[in-house]
Amino acid sequence: MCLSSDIFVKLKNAVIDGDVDEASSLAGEVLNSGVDPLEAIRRGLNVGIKEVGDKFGNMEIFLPELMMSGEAMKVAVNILKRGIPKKSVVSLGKIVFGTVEGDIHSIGKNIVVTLLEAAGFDVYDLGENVPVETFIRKVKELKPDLLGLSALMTTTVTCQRDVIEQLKAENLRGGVKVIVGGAPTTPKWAEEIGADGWAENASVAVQKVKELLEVGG
Amino acid sequence: MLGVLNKRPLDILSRGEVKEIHEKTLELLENVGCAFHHKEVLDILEEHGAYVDYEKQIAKLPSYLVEDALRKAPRTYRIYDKTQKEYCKFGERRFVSRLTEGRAYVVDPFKKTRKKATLSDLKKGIMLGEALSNTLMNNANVTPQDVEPPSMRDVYMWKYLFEYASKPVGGAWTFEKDSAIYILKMAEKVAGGKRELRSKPIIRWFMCECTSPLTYSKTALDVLLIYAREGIPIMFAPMVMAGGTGPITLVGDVMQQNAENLAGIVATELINPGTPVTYMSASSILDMKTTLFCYGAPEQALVTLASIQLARNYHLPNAVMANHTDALIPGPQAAFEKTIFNLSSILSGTDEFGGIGFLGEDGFSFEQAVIDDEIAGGLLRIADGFEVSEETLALDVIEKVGPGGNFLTQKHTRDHFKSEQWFPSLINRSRWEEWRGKGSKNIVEKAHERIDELIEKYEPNPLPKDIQKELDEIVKLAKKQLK
Repeated sequence: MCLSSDIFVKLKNAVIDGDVDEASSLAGEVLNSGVDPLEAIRRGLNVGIKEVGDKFGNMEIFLPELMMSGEAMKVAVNILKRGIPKKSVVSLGKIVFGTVEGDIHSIGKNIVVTLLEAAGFDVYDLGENVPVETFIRKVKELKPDLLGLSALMTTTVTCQRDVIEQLKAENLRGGVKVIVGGAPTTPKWAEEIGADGWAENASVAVQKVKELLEVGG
Repeated sequence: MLGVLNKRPLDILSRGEVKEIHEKTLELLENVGCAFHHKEVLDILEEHGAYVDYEKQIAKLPSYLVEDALRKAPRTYRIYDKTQKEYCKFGERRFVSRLTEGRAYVVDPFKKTRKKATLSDLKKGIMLGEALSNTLMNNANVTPQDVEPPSMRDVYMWKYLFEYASKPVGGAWTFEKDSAIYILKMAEKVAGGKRELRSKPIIRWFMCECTSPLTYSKTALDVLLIYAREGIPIMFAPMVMAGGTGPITLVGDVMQQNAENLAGIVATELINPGTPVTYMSASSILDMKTTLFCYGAPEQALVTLASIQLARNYHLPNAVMANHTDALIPGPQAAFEKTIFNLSSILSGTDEFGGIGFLGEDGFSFEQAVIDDEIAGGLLRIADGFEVSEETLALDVIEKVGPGGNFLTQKHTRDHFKSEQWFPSLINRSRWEEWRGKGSKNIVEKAHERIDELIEKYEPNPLPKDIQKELDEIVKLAKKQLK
């Protein structure tokens, strides 16, 4: 077996095993050995994460294993990016995510962010308690393909509507897809406020994002 | 309204284990601390000796602050009805039962649909709460989704409770500081003044939420300041998700939750020493297959048992978030999950349990409320335990009846049967033919038929006209301001 396919298999396994250290060291090896980092992502990391995603969907592996695989993937990609010319398309799309103002709940959003990163998206997580103005500012600055809004409380979920209204007011609405989620949200709510999509849990979220951005498969 | 004394609670932890958990809790609070997203609260904590990092908004609490708070928090307290004549008392293991609070949807178990809860569901819920014989405290069963703006919803919940409830109220939601101000104003009017409200509280705050791990939000602390300053009892219930916002190992969650409760109680007792508090546990597992936070998992019952034991050791009034389930409709899953939780609640020796009418995913069902009330009767029977005496051992009666005899005709049997046996009204005790003869109904169908019957029993107990007028004025003012 030649060096590159050997290392692709090792990268795949590092992701499947959720071995952050191994993934990180292998990524370094790729950069040093002259193997194409884009290929390493495509034929190594992506193969691993797809297998992990499928297994989670079949309930063969569980959330902590999925999250660790996502972490390993994220770490490796961040290292490999250094060896890729900026012009090349590495990610499937750019996403900005955050929990709305007044709400400090994060874990649901964090699971979705990790899964999206693992799936190959570039995600900018603005954190929690994010005011409308900050979402707008970041959309203008980063020009993402998609904006994700999370809310856990019935008292804060209305901020999702406020963000969408403000996007419209500043003529930004057409340039970005919006997806909403969190316990008080429903498909009806998403429709009512004019969001492009809604997801009930993290796995569905990744699927919906891929559909909305017409990528991935 | 005193409930049933739970004479012999189960201690699931050994004394040594309780001590170890307590010591690790103190260590956690001293070295890791708790985040309070509120400068005024951080100032108060720092003033009294906490080590505050204002940038991270974290306060590290030396153990003497915890010990002081445990000394100041009352061991018992009462919640009165709106006329301040009857009360429920906490801190004595009297297993007081409560209607559930603030659910967003009303479920139809037959059509298997749900609709957003409305003001009319709120009124109906309160009226039902009055009629349920095993439910000692009434409550705002739903959050009325038809009230606009949303910031007025808790104001309306309390308005309706003051107007329609006669029983003491278990503790309805207050979501934000602006509504807290108006709810307090209404309570003061109904009680007859600030002092009267403080000495005989007719409201309680369900609840000061901790966002695990170890974080109190600005919203929660804004309300805490308003209520604690008036001595309004505060309920705490961290909801750690094992493996997500707390350790995967359950006793680690018991300990983290303990720290979260105590941190909130430290803040409360520093804001206003002597403010009554209730220690609760809402922690459970994050299902690692489906990512659902589970309201019906057996793990929740286990964590609760340990948590309530800790609360009892601290001599803190406590409550169990009982009747939790992930079932979306009344039925076998709801029955199983509610019962394992409720049974462990009794065994835990708690002061009170709530959730009557609760269903998964923010659901409420009138049928479920009727069923839960019935089941509460059975639980209370278990909680009642045994009274061992000459009379109850009945040796003399057995002697009189003798081998092969019959107890049915004994005076002793006639004298005691009503207090010794629980008489359910929904639970089937018929045999097959009789059951078929009556229409082959299951418990959900029977509960459904019972609803209107119970609501018909409702006796209005309106507020005096002048107080009602003042309440209406307060609500009008609130509407103007809370837009």
